[in-house]
Amino acid sequence: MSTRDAGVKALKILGRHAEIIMDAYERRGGVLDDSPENTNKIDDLVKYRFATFDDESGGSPRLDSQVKSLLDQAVKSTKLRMSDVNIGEAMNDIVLYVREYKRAKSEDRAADCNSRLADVEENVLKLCDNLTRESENIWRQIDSDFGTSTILRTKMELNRNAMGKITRILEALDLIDIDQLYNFGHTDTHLRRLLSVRLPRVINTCRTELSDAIHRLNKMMFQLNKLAKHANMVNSVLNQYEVNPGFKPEDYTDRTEVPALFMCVKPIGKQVGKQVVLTGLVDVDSSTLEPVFSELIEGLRKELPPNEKQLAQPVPVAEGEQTLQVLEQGPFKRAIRDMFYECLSEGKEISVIDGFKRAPEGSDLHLWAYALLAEFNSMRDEERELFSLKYEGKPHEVFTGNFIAKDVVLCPS
Amino acid sequence: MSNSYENITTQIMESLLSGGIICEYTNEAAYEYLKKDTYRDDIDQLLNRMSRKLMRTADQSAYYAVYSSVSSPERRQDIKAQFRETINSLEPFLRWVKLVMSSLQKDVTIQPGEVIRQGELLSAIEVTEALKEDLAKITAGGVFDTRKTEVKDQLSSVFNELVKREYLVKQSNSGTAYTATGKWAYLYEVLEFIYTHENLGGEDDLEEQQELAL
Repeated sequence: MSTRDAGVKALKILGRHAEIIMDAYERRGGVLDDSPENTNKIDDLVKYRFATFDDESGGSPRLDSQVKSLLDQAVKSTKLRMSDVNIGEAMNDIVLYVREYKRAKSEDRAADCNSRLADVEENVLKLCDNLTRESENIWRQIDSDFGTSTILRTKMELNRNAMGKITRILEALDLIDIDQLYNFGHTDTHLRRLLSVRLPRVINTCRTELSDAIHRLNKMMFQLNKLAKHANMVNSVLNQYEVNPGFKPEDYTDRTEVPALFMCVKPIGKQVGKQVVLTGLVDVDSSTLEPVFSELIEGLRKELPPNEKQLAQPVPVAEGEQTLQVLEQGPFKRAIRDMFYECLSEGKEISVIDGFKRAPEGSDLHLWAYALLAEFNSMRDEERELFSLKYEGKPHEVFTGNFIAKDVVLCPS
Repeated sequence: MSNSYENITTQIMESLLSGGIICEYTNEAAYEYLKKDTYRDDIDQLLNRMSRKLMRTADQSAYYAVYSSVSSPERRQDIKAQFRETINSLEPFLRWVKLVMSSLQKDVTIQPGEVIRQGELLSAIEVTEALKEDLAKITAGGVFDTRKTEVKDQLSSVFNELVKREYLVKQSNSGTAYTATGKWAYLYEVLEFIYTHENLGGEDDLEEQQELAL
């Protein structure tokens, strides 16, 4: 049987027994189900070295680690696997085959030459694949936050393990003599493709990805340490409460410099139901607001007195005979004044809205209200003493200095 | 000034001045807004004019307002009252954290963004006598005080209180699932301060420091 036929047959065996293999891989920790109906399948798998009998698992057959690696790769597993990349040995092999290839080439041994070049290519590609797979594997573990592990300590151990592995790979990559690889490929096209282009490119990518991975792992470790510290603090402080009931820490607000952590603001505003409604109160004790207040006060005096100097020429007015004219009150003013008379004579309170029915047709309610206020304010003191005004409404919810009046009531004093 | 700017600034100021905490889970838009240096400075300046300043937790998961100085006896009284409230509620809060950890068999404390399902906790507590006792102890007085005797009712009462105090927000799509807010980060900072300044770590911390020195 040719190698090709043997390979095809081996792959067919894998395909034929895919169910039992995946069952072992996914659910049985790699151990195959050796019930009687599976005997022939197991024999096939053992024959092709896809499975082996293991004394450790009580004589049960288990999947070969190569098969598990193949599946890990295929299903992008986040399971942790031991690294099988040995960069030093792989490089020694490559250098050895390169030297043999060059010797065969210089001695014109074409068959040996081709054979050694194939060896170089296979070893370079294998190393490239291993480095790429290793980097991908580490990133899969990072992205999955170390798989299903929920225990903090395990996550920290896995993080340290990954960190150690990356460090070892990076150290090994540093030992690769890139100049030597370039020299090998300097005079030979085939070697140049492999040793001057492909391998350095993969090494460079791997180095970058692993450096990024270290950065990420460090961040994760910082976070894990913080979580561990929190748990430790909770336990310690609770223990203190158990051992020392009534434990009270020092009142840090008594200190001259109070830690900012304990200077949380008291809610501004008033409680309305479940909500705190803000008010527009200004902190008058605040020294930082002094310039603002000063500016406001200055602003109040800022209006300049009117310029007394009249630039216009006085107009001569002829002083003729003057007759006294009595201005008659209009119906609007009369209606306003009637409200005051009625209030006084009947001794009852009249609201502006109620009194609006007295206003001449077409009057505006707001104008009516302002006219009443104006009439009240323009009275002589002795007349005004007979009345008082009541404002019905409520303070503004935010700017508490403001009062929103819905009605004005004229009352006898 | 655009309306959206005005609205978000108003929301942030109202929340901070009401003693609230802003995080990704209480108000995502406001949190994203405060993550930008320029906008954060704007808010800080507005607060400064009111003798307050913006603070954020060390892990940058939450923002809150603090007084910028203690300039009057009244303010010191306010701060004292807040401190007393925080310290008095520390023990029940830590007992609750421990209860959640034990019930869900976790070795990490409640973290901002973590989803806590009331049903999951109830199932775990109902079948374990020790956890029932712990819950009863938590609800026997203090901030989680309730007269309820059923585990389910006690648990509901604790969840309600945690929502009221902004430690949890109810997930809109689920009746009994809650998301932990950034207020936990603030609580752990208070805890760390007390732990460090009251020297509660003792020998362990000393060893840790020696290890770091080596």
